[in-house]
Amino acid sequence: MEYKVLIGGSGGQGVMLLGTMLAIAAINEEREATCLPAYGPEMRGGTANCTVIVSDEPVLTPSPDAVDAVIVMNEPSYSKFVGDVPENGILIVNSSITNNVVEEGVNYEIVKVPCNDIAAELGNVRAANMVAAGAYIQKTGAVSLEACEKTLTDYFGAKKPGVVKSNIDALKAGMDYVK
Amino acid sequence: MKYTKLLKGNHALAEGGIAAGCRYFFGYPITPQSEFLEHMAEIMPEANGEFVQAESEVAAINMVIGAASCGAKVMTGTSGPGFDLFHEGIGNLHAHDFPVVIVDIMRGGPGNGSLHPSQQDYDVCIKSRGDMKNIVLAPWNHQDMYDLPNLAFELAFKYRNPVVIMADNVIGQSYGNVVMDDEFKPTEFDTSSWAMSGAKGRERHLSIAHFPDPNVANEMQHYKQGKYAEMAKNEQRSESYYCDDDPEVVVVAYGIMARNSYAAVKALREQGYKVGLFRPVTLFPYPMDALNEATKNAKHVLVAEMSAGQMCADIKGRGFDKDVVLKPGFCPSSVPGTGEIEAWIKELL
Repeated sequence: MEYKVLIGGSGGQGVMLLGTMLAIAAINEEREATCLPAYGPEMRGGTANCTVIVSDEPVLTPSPDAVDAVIVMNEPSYSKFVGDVPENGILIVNSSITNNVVEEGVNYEIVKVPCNDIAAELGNVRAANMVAAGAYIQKTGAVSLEACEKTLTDYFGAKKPGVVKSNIDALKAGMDYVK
Repeated sequence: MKYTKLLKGNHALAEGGIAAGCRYFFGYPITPQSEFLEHMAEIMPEANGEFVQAESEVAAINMVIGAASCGAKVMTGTSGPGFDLFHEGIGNLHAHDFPVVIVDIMRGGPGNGSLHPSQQDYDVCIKSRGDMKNIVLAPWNHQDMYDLPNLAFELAFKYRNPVVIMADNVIGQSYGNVVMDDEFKPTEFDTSSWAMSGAKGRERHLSIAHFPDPNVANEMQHYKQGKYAEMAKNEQRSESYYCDDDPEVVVVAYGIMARNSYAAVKALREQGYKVGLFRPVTLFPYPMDALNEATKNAKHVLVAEMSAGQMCADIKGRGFDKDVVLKPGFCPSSVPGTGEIEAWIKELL
């Protein structure tokens, strides 16, 4: 089974951390993964995005023709990447700051998650990316919660137990929101 | 112990270099190679090695010559515009027969070029002025980025020749699985016959990059061409996929194009088409024997590369006598996808 997701947002929203977190979580499950960041002029402001593939077999190519899910963290990313959502695919939208989502007549599932609001309620608005990650893993089962928890614990390290906890809380809140 | 990590391709190069025993790095940052240099800056001190960010590529390659002259395992890295500036130094490394490993993470176009993916440095990587040849290795995944630095040093010291690891920015800048081995012991090479290690108690070693004596110049040229013939005999490396049952179409590709072509070939195989993939690992010496074997009964040979046909012309120049279809025929600003490659193959079926 192969999961392919495109994640878009703006610089500072943690798009790259969200992407690499999913990929490292897959490796923690002894599976294969790639993460291809968008690079070039887009690195400086504007939209940041990456394509993550999680697979039980070696990933054929890190730059696939199509993905099966898209996560957009803000309105410009929605406009830019909505065309990449395939038929019967999933679009996860950070509805806290994305208003003009076209919902009628689309052939894919739209999952609106107020990531910023949920993260703010938990006391760490910077963990909005993990709320989106939680929604994504709950909807798709791409990687397990446990593998993500291990990844975040290793990433932030023992020195920042508060940051680890708030990110894991955000992940779980994202999962709960779409259950 | 062996363990798996998610590594950026450029970071895997640095980790692989250190694992291979590289203890000297001199370079200058340039997109899309900068993370290689940055990661070297991070991990070289832990390995008790020397890292210097030079003031320019010209300075960096000359520092590399200094370390290489002492028999040290030294690496540097750049992208196309920096590789242009390396050329004088690479010529001198050839003149002295000094071993070195150089990384080129390609970008597109002439001059400062684009930041788009490209395979347009093929010609400038395999050749150096004065009929010289660099050994060139072409990684296609993150594991290769970790493994090839060690092979590069083995070849550099065996032949006392510059080795170039030539990759595209998709592999350099993306993340992927890498199996690492923290107990790996790289080869220690005997450099006692030539290295500038201080002449106390022995005859001094003389190395010159200037050949005014006609006899010396002739001898040097014969020696070099003999060395390249030895490389061609012993060091051709490649991989063939689905080539054992006389496929109708064989795709020839390296780097990210091989990766996407493999996905296309696999998809077509699942639909029942007889197609195969040949992937050169060494671009010089080019694996002609394996190419001829993989394509011997093919009706069509499709070269898929992101340049106007540099590899295609190279294999033709080496006597490949089958008709070759070149796609896409130029360097597009994004990597041709699996679907596009499938369509090229289907046109030939």
